[in-house]
Amino acid sequence: MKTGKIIWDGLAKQNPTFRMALGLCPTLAVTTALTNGLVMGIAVTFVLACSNVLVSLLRKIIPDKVRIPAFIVIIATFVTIADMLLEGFVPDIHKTLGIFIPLIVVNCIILGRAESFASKNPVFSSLVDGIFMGLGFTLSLSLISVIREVLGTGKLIFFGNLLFSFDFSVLGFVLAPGAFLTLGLLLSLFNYIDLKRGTRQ
Amino acid sequence: MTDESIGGMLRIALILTVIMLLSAIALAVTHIYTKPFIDQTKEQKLKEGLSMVVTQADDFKDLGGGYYEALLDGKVIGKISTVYADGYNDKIKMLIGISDGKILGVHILEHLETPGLGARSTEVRPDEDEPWFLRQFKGLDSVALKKDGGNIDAITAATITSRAITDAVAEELRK
Repeated sequence: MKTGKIIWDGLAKQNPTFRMALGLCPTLAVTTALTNGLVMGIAVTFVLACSNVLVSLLRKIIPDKVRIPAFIVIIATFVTIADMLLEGFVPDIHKTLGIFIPLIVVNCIILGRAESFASKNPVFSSLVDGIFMGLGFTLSLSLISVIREVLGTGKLIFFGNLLFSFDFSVLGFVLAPGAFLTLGLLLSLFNYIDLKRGTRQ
Repeated sequence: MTDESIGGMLRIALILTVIMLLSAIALAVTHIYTKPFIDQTKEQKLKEGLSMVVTQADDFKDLGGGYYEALLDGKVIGKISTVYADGYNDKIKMLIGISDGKILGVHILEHLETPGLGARSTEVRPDEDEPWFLRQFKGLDSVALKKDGGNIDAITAATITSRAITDAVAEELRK
């Protein structure tokens, strides 16, 4: 499979959030602020790239019957490693993301890519797929986060630095309803764009 | 060799075992590598927490078992205990400082509350230096949520967290 196609699939055509609607629980939950969404995305990208590589390396060794438990162990290991690294080096962000880091284990994007891509493709393709599916997820989370943070709090903070602020905020956007509204509107926007371009499959 | 034969099944079990073993080794290595950093952060957070709870103090004495004495010029001006509240997701680890039956300060060390809801118990408003929810406790000798007929404003949409913290403080005051 061509590398360019894998990259485009991850970022846009098969975007995990807006195209496949996978991993929506963390998407809805942590996108209250740009920094949270971004770090969550990077953590998922790390886990996805590592697990894709390992699953691809082991794809001929892992027996078909126990592939799911084997994938889960591999994914859980990388998630725990990511959890420990975040706690050690960026404790404040680790504190904000809290329970959602361990929950990356059950993020269906990761198991989905292991099962549908890495277990059938060579190592390099799987690495590229993992990185760009992760980046697609990161971009989606960042987009939702920026909209919710700006509308909900009237300001945008990037790793503790205030980027801009204004006197307008709708608190609802940082609460749960805002998450559903933002995601729903963005999903319909992307569907609309696709319809217009006639590329909707 | 098919998967149904004894050898096939043993092979499956062996492969899974090897994967688990490698996973355990990877985790152990990461744990050993990150533990000093995590411990250092925890110690620093504890020190910061203690001075947030009793701001006037210039020194703290560790009495062991999660109890501390706040000192000013060598005199004890308050006692601080480590308390666990039953939060929404997990225990909330907090420090509560008390002197003469009054709250000196409350600080949350660790929690796994929901971001955007219960996690707002540690939210600091712009231009302020301490969480607004926890500041409410300062100087009080009895506490309860307003919706329970008391004096503490709950966090919007996070009554369980608010009540857990308030109850833990009330319990500590009764001691």
